[in-house]
Amino acid sequence: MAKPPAKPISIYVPKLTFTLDQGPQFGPRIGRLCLTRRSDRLSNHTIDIPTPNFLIGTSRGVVPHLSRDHVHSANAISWINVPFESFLEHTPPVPTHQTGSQPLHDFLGFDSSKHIVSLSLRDPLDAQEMPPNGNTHVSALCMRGVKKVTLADWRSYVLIMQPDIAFALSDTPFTAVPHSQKRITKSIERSTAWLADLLRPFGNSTEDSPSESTSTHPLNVFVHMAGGASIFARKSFSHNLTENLHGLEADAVNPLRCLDDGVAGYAFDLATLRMKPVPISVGEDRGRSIEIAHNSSIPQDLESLAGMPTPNTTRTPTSFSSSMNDPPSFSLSPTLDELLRASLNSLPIAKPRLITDVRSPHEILRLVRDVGIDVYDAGWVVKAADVGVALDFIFPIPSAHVGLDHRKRDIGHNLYDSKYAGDFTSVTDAFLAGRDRTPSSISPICPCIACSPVTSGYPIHHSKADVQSHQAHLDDGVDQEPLLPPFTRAYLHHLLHTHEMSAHTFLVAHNVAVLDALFTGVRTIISGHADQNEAVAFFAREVRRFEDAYDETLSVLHTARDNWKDVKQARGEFVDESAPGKEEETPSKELPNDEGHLNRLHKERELIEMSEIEWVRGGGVLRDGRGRRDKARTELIRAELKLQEEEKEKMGRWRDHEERWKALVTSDKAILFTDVPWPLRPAPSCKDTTSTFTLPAISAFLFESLSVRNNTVTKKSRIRSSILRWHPDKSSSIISRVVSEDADAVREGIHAVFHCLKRLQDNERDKIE
Amino acid sequence: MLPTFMPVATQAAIKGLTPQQVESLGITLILNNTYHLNLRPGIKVLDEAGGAHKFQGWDRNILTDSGGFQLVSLSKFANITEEGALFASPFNGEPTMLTPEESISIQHSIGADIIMQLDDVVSSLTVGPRVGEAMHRSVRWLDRCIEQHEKSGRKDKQNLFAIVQGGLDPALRDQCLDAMIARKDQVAGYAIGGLSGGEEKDVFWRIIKQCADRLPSDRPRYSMGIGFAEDLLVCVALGVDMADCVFPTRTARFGVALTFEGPLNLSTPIVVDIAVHNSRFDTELGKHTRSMEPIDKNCPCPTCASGMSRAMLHHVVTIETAGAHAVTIHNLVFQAQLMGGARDAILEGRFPEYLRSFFHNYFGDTGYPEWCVNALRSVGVDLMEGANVPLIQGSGAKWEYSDAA
Repeated sequence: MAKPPAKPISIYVPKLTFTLDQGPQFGPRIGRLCLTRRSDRLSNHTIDIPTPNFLIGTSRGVVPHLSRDHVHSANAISWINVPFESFLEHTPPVPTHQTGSQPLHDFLGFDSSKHIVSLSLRDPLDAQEMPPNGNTHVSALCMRGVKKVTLADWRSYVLIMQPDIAFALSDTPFTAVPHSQKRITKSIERSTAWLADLLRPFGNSTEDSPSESTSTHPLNVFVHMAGGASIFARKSFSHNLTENLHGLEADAVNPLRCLDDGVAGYAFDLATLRMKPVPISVGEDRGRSIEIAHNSSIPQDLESLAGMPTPNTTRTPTSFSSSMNDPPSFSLSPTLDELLRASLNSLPIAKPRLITDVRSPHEILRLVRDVGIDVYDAGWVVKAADVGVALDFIFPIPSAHVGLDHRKRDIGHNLYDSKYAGDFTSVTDAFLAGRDRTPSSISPICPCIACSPVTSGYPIHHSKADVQSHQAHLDDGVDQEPLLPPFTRAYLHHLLHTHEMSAHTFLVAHNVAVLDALFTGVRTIISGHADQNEAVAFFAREVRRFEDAYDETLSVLHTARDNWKDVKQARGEFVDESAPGKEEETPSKELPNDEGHLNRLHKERELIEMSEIEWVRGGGVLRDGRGRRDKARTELIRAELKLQEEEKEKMGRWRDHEERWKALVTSDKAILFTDVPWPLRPAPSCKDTTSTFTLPAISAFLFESLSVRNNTVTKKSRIRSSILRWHPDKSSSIISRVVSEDADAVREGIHAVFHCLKRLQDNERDKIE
Repeated sequence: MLPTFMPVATQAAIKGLTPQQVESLGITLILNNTYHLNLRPGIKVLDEAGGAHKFQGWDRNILTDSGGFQLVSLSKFANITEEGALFASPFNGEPTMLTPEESISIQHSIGADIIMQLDDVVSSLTVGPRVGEAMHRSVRWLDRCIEQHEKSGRKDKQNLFAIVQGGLDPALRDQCLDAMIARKDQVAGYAIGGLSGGEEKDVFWRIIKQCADRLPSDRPRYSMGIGFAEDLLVCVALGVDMADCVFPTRTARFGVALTFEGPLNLSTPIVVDIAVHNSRFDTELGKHTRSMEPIDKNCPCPTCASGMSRAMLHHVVTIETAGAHAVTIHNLVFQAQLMGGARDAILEGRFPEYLRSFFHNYFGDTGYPEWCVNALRSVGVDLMEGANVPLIQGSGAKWEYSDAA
């Protein structure tokens, strides 16, 4: 195991607390996550996140499509998760060079007074097959391929980056399912040991006196609940967390009595559960037993590419029973909610529960209702924005909102649809644009930059004269109103069809705001009833109203995705099934567990190979993953470059030869001996045809271009075409144009070449016979 | 405020940004392309929306080109006749005619504050009688544009600019200037067209100077397709007020950040950083991957002000859209700062010093492009005064990594 860098480490991880205000062990509950940051001044700064709420994941360290100013202005964003693996391209990872007291916030530009930033090694939405983990390392993915990250590496990254929350490494098998009992057992053992490793007290050596530590662990550690699709395995992992430790194990994590004492929260990754195939079950006609989104890990399954529920699972898009009143399932395959409860059953209820890779508002609402999850990943709303969907749903549904035609509404608008080309309304029906608010309006406002844009109060001034000009603009009263008209569906439709990146910026910001409103609605409903049972029943009723009102097949997302592909194709672009909204010249961003992802990796590998070749061409030496000179690979590329160069020359010479022939035949000028494209290198200048026009010389010239690797011409056909060209019958027209003093030499030369060609042809025939 | 640089929002959006973001950068005038807006969203939608300002949520100023240039450069079968430009419709391949009258009426629908005449564009490398023909036709088309504009009743809302043509031939340029200056009362400003198409820089500046010297001083002069910092400042020195170019935004998407010390390529090959002791490229190209410095710590743009490091930018440029946004924001502010600095310097009577200090910072390490020195000498500014730098022949355009552009 590698030693962590000897960099002196002082930990200023802020204190995370979770207060459960109300709610049963499994059911709708409200709480409050507080992060108290020790500020330089006396006063502490607190970030307060009421739960249920959401977190947004980054892609290569940025919130997709949003620039920093947009991230800061989006008040809905308060928890950002950073998968660290993309930074493993460099050793040591570049962010570790960041100095200051908030390295992770500072490097990524997040606001320490506003954003809780967590750090996970892997992207929780990425469940594609990976090389196996080892006893002390996890395989992680970056653009330069798979990297092994050891426990010591992870500990040191966490210590250096100082995230507000760190996810412990977990041994999730990303290999083909199903996993053997043995593999699952190993997974649980490793995940437990790896959590324990992160929970070891910090200090430069083991002699550090542990008694100085506070009673709880200084890091805020979330643990991924291991155990896969097995209820037994899940229970067993939870048991490992709460069991009191003894002996060496206890010493290692002193002063913790059990691992759970050092755990700040529990995390569930649905992506890994969704990749499980269907266990054999009874009652296949029963919707609930066929679930745990089968097949979604198979890349050929086109429907799953968008990472969205497939239409063929539409009857029961998630494993959750659509009603709490369903009888308990006796099926052999546990449902998702059963799995989650199995993990949580023996654990303290007052710790936050987090879930990644949820895929619809329906699923979120049922997780609130049936399990009591507190924090939900927002990846799916970003994906909806990627394919041009503006979300448009509201919870709880206002009483006036019920459709009479009994047709379910879509959860959003596919703005690619041509019906929006001339639609000048704001992007949602459920929310008002900020500017449209009237004292009597009851609908809530969507505060996003698309629905409620605001004038920038203080634009940058580039000269002294600008100050006056800006003032004059304000005085003109062109738009004193800080709230501007909303951006319209027609405009976003236009941006999508013209492939403008701004479309996705607006849509991510909007969709995040709609998701935020969902959680506001959820909290309002739960907290609206002091009596717990009443709250549970009331909440369940609202969920059912939501399920009745909004289409859960998410067909709008599938149509949008097809339209998005069409626009890409219409632009002559390679549709790589991954996220849109990028410039055509850029490699596309990641979508987990689908063909697009493989394509992306393939493209990235090509890109890397190309840049490596360029690097060697420029005289550079490649380095391996550990930064050592990679002589062998460099030499390999050098040899390849040299070969390519030679092949280019060979092909070039033959092409020149052909061009000269063409020119000779098409012109009617007089011909000198040296004008004839003789099949010899160097071109013969003397007219001594017997000594220069030799068989080896001519065959070397004719056949050298055939040795090029992508050559398709055979020796036989080259001989044949040459014989046709040099045949005395054919060449008479050439000879007639030769100046008289060269005529004999040319005739002799042609004769010599033809003679050689005939011999070559005979040789070939002999070989065959 | 003039002189100014106009960023290009071809499809009614500065790529990746929102109008409010663009305004917050201190930008008050952007360019939309008529050809593109006419295709999408189309005139019907723009009319329903109440014009391009409302459509894209931009309440500052817009300039539209005539659509002629894009038509010739993007359409496969454009054929210029006296009536107008005949081209294959991108919708159905049918022959379609864009006349001067139609160009103006499309621009009326778009509703830009500044609209351009339809001109007969030929490449600046074209020689022979075609250049003269195009120039004369551009004058005739100007008359038709003026007539269409006058009768539209939109003269109080939209301002028509003429475009001076005449290729690289000073005599033709003079004839065109004569004709167009004679129509001064019907036009609000003048553009200098038919340049930046690959001509010699030494010819380029002489034509700009010839036009700027003769154009009426009470009309703004707009030099089309100019975006490199040195080109902008030379043009300003020669008397140009406005310029546009896709360069700062496009180059941003390729990961090149503009600074007063020259362009900075943030998107260097992935493998570069790992060879540390190796060749001279190491320090040149690999330096950004670990740099915790912003692009320019004196830059007021949100990207630099947020402390976004070169290392972080390197990590995302050309991969994440947000990387493109960050560098685009910076480059737009760079262009605006460059021109804003020129405004202040001119008002305070120290423009020559401004030029000298810009060239010193931007080209001091490599040498001054000779054409810039010559051009500025023609207006009485000697860059070489007190400077000890070599002269560079050719365009002298400065690239940290020449493949980048």
